[in-house]
Amino acid sequence: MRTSTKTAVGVITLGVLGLSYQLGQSAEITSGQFAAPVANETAAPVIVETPSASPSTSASSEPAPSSPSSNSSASQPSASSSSAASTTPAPKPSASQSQNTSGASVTKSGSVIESGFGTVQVQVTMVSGKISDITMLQANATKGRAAAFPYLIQYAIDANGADFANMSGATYTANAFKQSLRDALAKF
Amino acid sequence: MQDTRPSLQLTQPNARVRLGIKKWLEIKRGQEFIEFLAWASVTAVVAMFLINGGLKEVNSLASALTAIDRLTALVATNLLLIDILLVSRIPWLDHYYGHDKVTAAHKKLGKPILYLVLAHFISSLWQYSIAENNNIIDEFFALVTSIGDLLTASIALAFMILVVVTSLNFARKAVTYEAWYLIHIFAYGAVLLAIPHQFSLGSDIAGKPIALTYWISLYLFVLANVVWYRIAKPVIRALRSNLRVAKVVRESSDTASVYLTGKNVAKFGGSAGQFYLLRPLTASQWYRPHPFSISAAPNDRFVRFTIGARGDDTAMLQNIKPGTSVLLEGPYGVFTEDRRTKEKVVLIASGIGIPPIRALAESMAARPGDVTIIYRVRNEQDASLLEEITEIAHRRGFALHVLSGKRAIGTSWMNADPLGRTDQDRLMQMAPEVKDSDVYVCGPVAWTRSVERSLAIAGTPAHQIHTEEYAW
Repeated sequence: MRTSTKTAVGVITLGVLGLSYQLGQSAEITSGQFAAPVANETAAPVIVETPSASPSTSASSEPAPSSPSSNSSASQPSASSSSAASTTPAPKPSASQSQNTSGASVTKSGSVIESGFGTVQVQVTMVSGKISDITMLQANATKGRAAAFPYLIQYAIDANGADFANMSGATYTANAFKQSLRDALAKF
Repeated sequence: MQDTRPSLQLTQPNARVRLGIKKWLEIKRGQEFIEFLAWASVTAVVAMFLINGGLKEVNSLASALTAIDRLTALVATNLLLIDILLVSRIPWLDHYYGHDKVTAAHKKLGKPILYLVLAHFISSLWQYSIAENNNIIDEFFALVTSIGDLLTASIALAFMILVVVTSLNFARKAVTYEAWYLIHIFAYGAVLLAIPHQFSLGSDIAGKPIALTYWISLYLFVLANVVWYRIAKPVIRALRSNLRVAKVVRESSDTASVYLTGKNVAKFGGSAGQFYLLRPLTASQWYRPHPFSISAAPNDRFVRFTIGARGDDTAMLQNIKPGTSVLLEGPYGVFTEDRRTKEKVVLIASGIGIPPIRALAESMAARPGDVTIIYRVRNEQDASLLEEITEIAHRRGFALHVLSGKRAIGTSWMNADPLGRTDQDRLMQMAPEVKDSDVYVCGPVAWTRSVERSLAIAGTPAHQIHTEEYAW
């Protein structure tokens, strides 16, 4: 390359990297793992139970975070079932996993699973055959993988089970979550 | 074998050639563009890392290690994919750089990539051991036993070390070709084994659609090029042309020409001065490619290689049985008229460097007097293709100087001169316009360097000097 070209490319590169650094300084980041859901959810998962909440269809079609990088609070993964309260009370018995067809809520815990990045244990609350709430009894995952839990909870509630796509960047944590979840569901 | 050459049948030379410095400048532009793309890809990866706040949280040893861990992984992966691209035999890379330079660049990039991957491995492990409050050795075993993707990644690293170490010059001599080749095949395995952990554990791909798109596109682009140019294209062409050894003709006491025929040999394309990788399709030879320049201009009758006895497998190839199936990969190289910018041409060959020079003399667009051929041989009675090149020079009106016999002093690239003139004086007498000519030089490496020095003194600009170097 000619010296002039080299110089120009060098200057542009420095400019691009400098700008990127600036953007990075102001960027919203958690742990370099996932863009932030809501920080306190990771630390203190929602444990609120709503015994009378109806497992409406709209609850399960609650807009899930289309991509984990979404920061908008509208689509924040919420493990709480409060948003379901206002919608149509159409109790839908699910034959698949539950004999519990009444409106009462039942809570079971899954086994403790070692993901390789920490231990994971879930507690599942079911209402009328639908998962209404998931609580993390143990949510250990190093290097920011813990940020995955709110998403996993939301995915599990949406899927009403452990059959949902894995999460890139937290495959092992997600697998451990699913395993504990399956174990809990098997107890119903 | 009897000489069955009643009268030399020559291919019609090229009717025209584009000359002028502009052609060279266009090639330079192309090279700059390719280098820019490679540079831009690395810059883009670093920029994505920075935009994602890669350096924002660095405030402790562990977080600094995380940053190093991520950055080295990203840059190493990007460079590794470029390095694979360099050996995928992409025609546009060959056109702008030539196979030898591309292969040399591939080799040069190997060590830096390994260092980056090692840095990634160590910083990543160290950082995990801090996070889990464990010593490094225990942490390593804990990770590889509990996380499958890290086990495959560690195996990939071991492969990679093996590949680079066996390719170092001193080791390359100690390892047989078969072993080296097999280990190099492992390199592809290493890349594949390392992929899962990049996607399942990588912090810079998860939830980042632009980065995800970038990496998947790059992987697919490299894969497509490797599969197409290294495997599919040569195999498809081999099946179509059904290329076989037609005959072997002895050219001198230590050289022989191998003629290949098949369906549509003209479709192999290429031009005089280029070479193919030849693989005899026999049980013991199919995985060993041998680079040989074609020794006659491309034509619709045959592909011909003239092979000198240089040890290793050349003796076997000189005695290859007619009827043997062969596979050709190529043509490669930029030792062609495509790089010519001047009207006058000087072709200089020594010994078994003659094949591409012979083909160029046959095919170059030239008027009588435009081309000067200098052929350095040990012994005029036993010089390969001498009859043919004499015939070509005679028919096309080219000057031919055969320099035979021992040299006078060690640094000379000519034979001893009875009149005691220097190489420089003799070069100026044989090719007075050498400064304003394109010069094609093919011969042993040390001899080629010596010719290049003479040309530099004579004032021939570097871009007018064309040499073919085999990088393996």
